[in-house]
Amino acid sequence: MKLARHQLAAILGQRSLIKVDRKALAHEVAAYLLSEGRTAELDSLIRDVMEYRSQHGIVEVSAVSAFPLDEQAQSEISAQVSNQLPGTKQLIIDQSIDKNMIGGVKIEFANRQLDLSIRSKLNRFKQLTTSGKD
Amino acid sequence: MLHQLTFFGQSSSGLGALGLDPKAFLIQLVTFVIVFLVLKRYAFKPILDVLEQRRQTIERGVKLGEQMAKEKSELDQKVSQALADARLKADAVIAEAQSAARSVALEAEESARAKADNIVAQAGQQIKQDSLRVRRQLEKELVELVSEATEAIIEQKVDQTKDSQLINKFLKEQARA
Repeated sequence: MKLARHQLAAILGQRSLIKVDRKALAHEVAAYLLSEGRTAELDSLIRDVMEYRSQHGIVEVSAVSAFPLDEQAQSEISAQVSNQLPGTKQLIIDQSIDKNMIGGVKIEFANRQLDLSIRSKLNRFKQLTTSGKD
Repeated sequence: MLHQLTFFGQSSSGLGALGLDPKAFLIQLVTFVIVFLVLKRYAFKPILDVLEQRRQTIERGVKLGEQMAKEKSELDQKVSQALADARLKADAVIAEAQSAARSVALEAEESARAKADNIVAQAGQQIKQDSLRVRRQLEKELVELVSEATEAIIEQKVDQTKDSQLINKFLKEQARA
């Protein structure tokens, strides 16, 4: 019987909340998706699992910046996430560097993102100044 | 009576005095009468008939000529009238054609003027659109240049410390929003 993606995400999210071997769990998921021919749903499934986990207080965000984040920036991000998701019990920040952003930070949640990068501000400036001129 | 005439001719007075022989005169007269009667009987009548026929023929010819002349005159009048009518009609046709030609020329002129105005208006509109498009393109390129220059300047100015300050600032602004 083929499980719906949200059902599969709920199962995986529930199992991830308890102490399991995450590597073994990842292997199981990969094997299941391959056997079912649903590998294209991997990204969506991961987002659904992240959403499930955030609903249960474990929030994982991806913070992309041009330079490594210092302690103060990380604490500001934590405060910002807690402010937006009041039920947060545990926050996991996955940091990555992208020099193309110039400066600022882009915080990606399970199903949305908060782009505070200089690149996005420049793009926004260009959009505003050139809107309706094409 | 013959005797009296003979006598009158033989006397020294009367016809005799004129040198005429009454007897011969009488014979000649009788002969003349006879010839006259014979001619009247056998020559004058056919001749007169022929002459009458000829006269009638001539009269008919004259009448016919007169009639023909009259008809010719009438025909001439009709021809003249027809020519006059034709000339009037021709004049009317020519006038109408000239009027139509003037009308066509006026219409063509109006049409040409309208087309010319339309072309000028379209050209003006095209120039306006081109000008606007070029201006927008220039504005867009200017914005790109400003953006690229800003980006270059920021890249030079922003280091890790500055970036941390910017992140804190952005996050605080976001929290306030």
